[in-house]
Amino acid sequence: MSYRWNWGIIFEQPYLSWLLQGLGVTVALSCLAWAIALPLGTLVGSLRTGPYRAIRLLCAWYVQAFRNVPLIVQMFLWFFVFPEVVPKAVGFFLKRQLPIPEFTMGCLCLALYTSARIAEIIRSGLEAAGNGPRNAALASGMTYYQAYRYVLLPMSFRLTMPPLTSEFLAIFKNSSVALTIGVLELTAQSHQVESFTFQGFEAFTAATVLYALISWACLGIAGAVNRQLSNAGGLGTEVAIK
Amino acid sequence: MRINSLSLGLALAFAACTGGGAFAEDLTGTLKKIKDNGVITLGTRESSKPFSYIDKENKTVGFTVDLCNRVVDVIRNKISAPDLKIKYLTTAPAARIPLLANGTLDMECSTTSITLSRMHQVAFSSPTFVVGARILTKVTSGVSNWEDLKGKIIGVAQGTNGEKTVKSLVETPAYKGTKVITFADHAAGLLAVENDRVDGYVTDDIVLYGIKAGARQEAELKVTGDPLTFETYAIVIRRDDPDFRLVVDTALSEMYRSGEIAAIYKKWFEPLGVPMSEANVFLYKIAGFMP
Amino acid sequence: MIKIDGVCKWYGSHQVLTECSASIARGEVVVVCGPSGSGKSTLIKCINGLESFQRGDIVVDQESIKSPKTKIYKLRSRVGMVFQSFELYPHLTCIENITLAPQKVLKRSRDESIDRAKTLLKQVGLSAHGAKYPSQLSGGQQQRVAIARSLAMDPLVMLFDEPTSALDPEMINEVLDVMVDLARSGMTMVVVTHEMGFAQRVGTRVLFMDAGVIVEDRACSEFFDRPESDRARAFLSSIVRR
Repeated sequence: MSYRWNWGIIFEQPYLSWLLQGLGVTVALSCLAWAIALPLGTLVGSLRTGPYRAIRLLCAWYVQAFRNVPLIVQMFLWFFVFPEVVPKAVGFFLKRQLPIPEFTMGCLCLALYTSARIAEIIRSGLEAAGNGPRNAALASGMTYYQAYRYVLLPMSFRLTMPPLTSEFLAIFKNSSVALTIGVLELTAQSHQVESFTFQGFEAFTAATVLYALISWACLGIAGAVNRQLSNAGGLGTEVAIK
Repeated sequence: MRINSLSLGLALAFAACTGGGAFAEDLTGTLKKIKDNGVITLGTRESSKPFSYIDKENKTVGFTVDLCNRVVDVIRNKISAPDLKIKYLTTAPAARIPLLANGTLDMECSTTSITLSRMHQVAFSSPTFVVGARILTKVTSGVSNWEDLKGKIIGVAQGTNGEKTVKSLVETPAYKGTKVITFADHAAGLLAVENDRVDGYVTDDIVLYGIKAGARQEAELKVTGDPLTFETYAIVIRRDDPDFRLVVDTALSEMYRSGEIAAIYKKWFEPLGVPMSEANVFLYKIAGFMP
Repeated sequence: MIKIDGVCKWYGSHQVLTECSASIARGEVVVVCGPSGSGKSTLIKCINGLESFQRGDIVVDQESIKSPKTKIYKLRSRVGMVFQSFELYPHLTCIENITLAPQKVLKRSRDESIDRAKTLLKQVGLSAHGAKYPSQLSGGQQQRVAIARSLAMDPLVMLFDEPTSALDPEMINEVLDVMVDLARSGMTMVVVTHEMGFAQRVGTRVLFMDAGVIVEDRACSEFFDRPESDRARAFLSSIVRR
């Protein structure tokens, strides 16, 4: 192996700021997408178990479409194809006037993709919570909205903390797909450092370490949320098993 | 006796110094490795037309590939290994350096530019091709040079010098309000021009000609503008292997000096309608070093 | 108070309720019994609209369940229901379980709801357990909390769907005692149960069901002393034998 190691390169300018900018974009992209995906996914997942058959079917279709088409294809479709099929004025806006178009569209695409996955998780949580609490809530005069808001969704979130945590971790990983539409996030920037210096091992190691740090931070956040939830009772084992 | 043995010793030492170099056992580095293995591995690309790509018959071909094949001919001669085989290995850009470093590749034959930063890691042959960053735009766009892009939207290829240059260009006051979008690959860049997402797409001019030739509406596109930066492609080899590098450079110089380069150039670039640029004319004159 | 009028229900082609009619007056304690699968639970779930039915009508406090003018949520808030498997909300404490619907549905203040919850917990003998989570309580205790939760809505009528059949034998009485007290306080109750002792102590009437049909609708004492149908006799003897 005649590779010449130079760990110093990742602390040299401009490479250090490229990597840090990439980190910033990755975190911003992922967190923004999550902020959209979590409420949207919760809504879709709830409607999938709701009382209206037509809406249930519509949401099932939504989940299938966004979950089963590979993210990289979706990125391409949203960025390149979508502006061509909408009315001309909208397409013109998307292509020419949207501020930071690749980031905006990448974020939207990641959010929709993740929301479909969250919807499935929430749905499984609602199904695991069972019909009992739903009937109990409805029998006490709550509307469907109230039953979901105060009883079923709080139960579902507690039951699905582990898969939700892995989805939260996955969104950071998935955000790297946005590099295909030109978002200069962490992976793209580490490729950039490699391309300019040929010190690829150092650049990709730096990216790996930064991704690992993000993961640890996420696990920390998830752990704190989980503790908060289980302090507030958690779920009795009989419900968790049922 | 003393004097005699001394002169005998000197004579032997002299013989060792002068004659020994001709023997194969004294080969070093890459030359020794390929002689021992009987095969030389060239790193190539899947679709860097017309430099290094896989054609319809699934063969690895291209301008740089031809140059490398000629270099290997010279190597066969040099290390007296007429049966030396060539193995082509399609390599992604990010993999080329590790594969070169660990000995999987012996030469990288594509469109890699010489830069000083990269020389900390690898060595380059003499330049093989000069490119300039120029603009691909629609014929109807009204863009013919850089100042026409003021206040417009410019697409650039991610990870190229052109990207950095354009980005620093638009930070100058004259270009206030100009937007830059990066694209991960040239197909995306072409699509962006065709769909009016950008007013011009900037990367190496020869690449732009290749993109234009492959476009559905070729006649609607043009390559325009003065070259913003110059870059030179070269064959990438391992660093600290001066003997191998000398052989490679010798082979290239011979091609440049003999005029053989003109035929190879014509073969690959005439179909694109690109005559040999002035820069390349001078390159082959300058780098055609005397023996 | 409740008038059930020719209710028919099918699951697909399978008829589960056939021409069920009965009326229940204020202050009555009606025991619904019959072999399993006879449609008892389905019938009482029809009373508060948790189960739909295709033909017939049910009128609760002069409001028809089928009428489009009826706000089913409003109606349910005045009909308490206790379930076989308690269905307490596992993520909420007992006090929170009891105060949720009064606050959200009846819009009572938090303080008022909590005061009422404490009174009810005292009534069911669980004053000390208000801050506990359901998983920390025994089955009998959970069912008593569930009764308190229903009572917190000040219902006109209480429906019990086999309230003791999921309990260990030693816990059945603590729940039945609460129900007996409730009956003696004048609450209108419809109770699906096999606890004939309970029926004999406080029941005013028995609806005996078999195969989706109300076979007998008699005063309690008459039913136990002189059942009219063979099916009721067979059922009673099987209960006694057990």
